[in-house]
Amino acid sequence: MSETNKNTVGATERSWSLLFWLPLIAAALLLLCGCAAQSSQPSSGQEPQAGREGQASEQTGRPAGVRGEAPQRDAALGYPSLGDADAPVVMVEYADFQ
Amino acid sequence: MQEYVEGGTLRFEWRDFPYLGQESLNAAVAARAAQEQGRFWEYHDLLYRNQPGGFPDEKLVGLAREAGLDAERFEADLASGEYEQIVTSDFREGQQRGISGTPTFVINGQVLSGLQPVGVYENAIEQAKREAEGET
Repeated sequence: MSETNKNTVGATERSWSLLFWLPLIAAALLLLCGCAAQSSQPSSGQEPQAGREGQASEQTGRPAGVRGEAPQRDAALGYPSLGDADAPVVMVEYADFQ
Repeated sequence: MQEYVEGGTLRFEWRDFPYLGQESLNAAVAARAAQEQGRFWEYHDLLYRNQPGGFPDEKLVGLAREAGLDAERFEADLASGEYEQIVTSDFREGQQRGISGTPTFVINGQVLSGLQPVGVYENAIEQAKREAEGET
């Protein structure tokens, strides 16, 4: 086989190899992007983290003093409370009016 | 408890746990509507003083007038359904903490179920205070 023919055959093989691998590489990249995007979003079963005052305060003994983000109405209204927001002791009452 | 609150030692927080049916839920929602007008504790006291007979809607509105609330706004707030979401959120939070009845008190993480002698709460507050001071 002449040198020219060898070069032509080599180039053809490389082209076929590229044609084979390129779609696979592209598919792998797409999959990776998809996974990254999905992991940055909460799953449908998750509830929003309200970051509410009492949860932190009961664990640390100090009210966080900052309302969470959801639900917005709750954030605006807050828990009914009495006393200093920086009090060292937080007493939470779960109660019913009936 | 009042002296602890006034002395800056204690912060008291309310959570709704309406587990006794629809009127129980309605009363909790009504109290939140009163909170919107800055009179939660006044309305809270009226609800407890008027427990007999339950809490039909007309009674809740009557108590709102008695508490000095804007009754028209109060009724509109009740109808909006917004406060039910808040009350339900409290209830779910309580369930997640394993609470099954009322009253239940949580003092810096220590759970005290049912109504206890005052001394039990005082001891728990004093202990929580000592622990909190020890942490600083």
